[in-house]
Amino acid sequence: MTTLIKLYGAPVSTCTARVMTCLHEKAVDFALVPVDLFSCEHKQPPFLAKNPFGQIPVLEDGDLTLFESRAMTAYVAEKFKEAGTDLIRHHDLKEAALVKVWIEVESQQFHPAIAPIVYEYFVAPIQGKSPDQGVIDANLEKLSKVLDVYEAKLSSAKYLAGDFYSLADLHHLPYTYYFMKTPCASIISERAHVKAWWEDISSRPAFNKVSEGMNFGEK
Amino acid sequence: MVVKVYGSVKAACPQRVLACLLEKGVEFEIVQVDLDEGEHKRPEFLLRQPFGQVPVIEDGDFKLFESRAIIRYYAAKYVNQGPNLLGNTLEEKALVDQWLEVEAHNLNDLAFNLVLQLVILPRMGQRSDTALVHNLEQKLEAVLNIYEQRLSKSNYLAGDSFTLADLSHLPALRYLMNEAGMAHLVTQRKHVNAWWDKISSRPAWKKLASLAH
Repeated sequence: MTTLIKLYGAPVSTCTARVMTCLHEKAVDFALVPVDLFSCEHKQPPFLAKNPFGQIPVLEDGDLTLFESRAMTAYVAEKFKEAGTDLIRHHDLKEAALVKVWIEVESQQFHPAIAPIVYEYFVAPIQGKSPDQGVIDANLEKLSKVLDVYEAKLSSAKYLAGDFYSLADLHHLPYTYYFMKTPCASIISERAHVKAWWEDISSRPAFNKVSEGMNFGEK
Repeated sequence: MVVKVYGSVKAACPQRVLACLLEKGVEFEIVQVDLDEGEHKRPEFLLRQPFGQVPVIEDGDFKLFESRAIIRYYAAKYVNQGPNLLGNTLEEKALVDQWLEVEAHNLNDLAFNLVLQLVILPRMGQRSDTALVHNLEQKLEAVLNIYEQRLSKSNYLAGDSFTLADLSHLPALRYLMNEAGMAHLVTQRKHVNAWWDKISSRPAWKKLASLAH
């Protein structure tokens, strides 16, 4: 008997969106269980029993409880590898390894530069703070250097790990989506190959289902 | 075919890869990259690793960078040789991934920045930021409290066996406990301390330590 996967999170949350996009790409049914961020539900004992780090999302599949969105996408992509889009190239060990390289690049190079910028524009104002230009500028500089590497890579292949869409590309979607709504979006659009790649991956139906919920009430 | 590992045997991220290769009994050759001289930022090296970082591996024609991708590749390629570092079932593998992510996102930055402040900056003749060190230490204490909780229920991070999730922690924790003088973070936590003793006394890690220090 297969159980329905439960995903605890919020539609506006980048990391929840990452996992939902993957579930949609694999055509896997799931239930989104809302976690009330504004009342700090994720920092309180019942939720901490699921994720002691007090972060969303959390995935439950029968007896298995997982936290860390990139561990979840890896699990879903592996468990349902014969269904939907092949996100991990499981038939070819070398292609699979290249996907892992660019998953790590997103995690270690891209994410640390883009996340603080998205935080300053979207989260800080909710906490009554104005965006810290120093933080934004410093991280824009780092992100620009990372995107120079991406521009070079994407000039010789359609997607990051090769000529195939993979989990490595997917992982970039949520933060970049918010980033494109900030005044800093030009660093993506002024790089021709990065821009083309972004337009391609962000127009995939699986992501469109998720991005509909990614708004803080702004137009 | 011997795997070439570009980096320095003393640097944390190459050590992550070398520890894995030693565990799996995979022959390797270290190709020195002079980090002090900035060799890793020069054009010839950027052709190997466009972000200007070590390690890089070359296995015949096949090249990879990002230490956590490299260890995943070798743990999968040699799954039937040496200890199984990945887990057996899909669920076990997911838990290994989960704790690898925790190391990468919840612990690594704190540990790295502490080592930067306490070891690297002074070595370069620069002052460290005491307030920042205090802040980082407090955050790391909170993270290690969670590890303490986890390891009170489980011998290793992902379950009953040593996996990549534990291995990935070795280099940074060693630096923290030795050169950075932060051993108390581990030794004051009963289960974290017991876990550290187990994982750091594995023959593969001891072999690497003898090569490096």
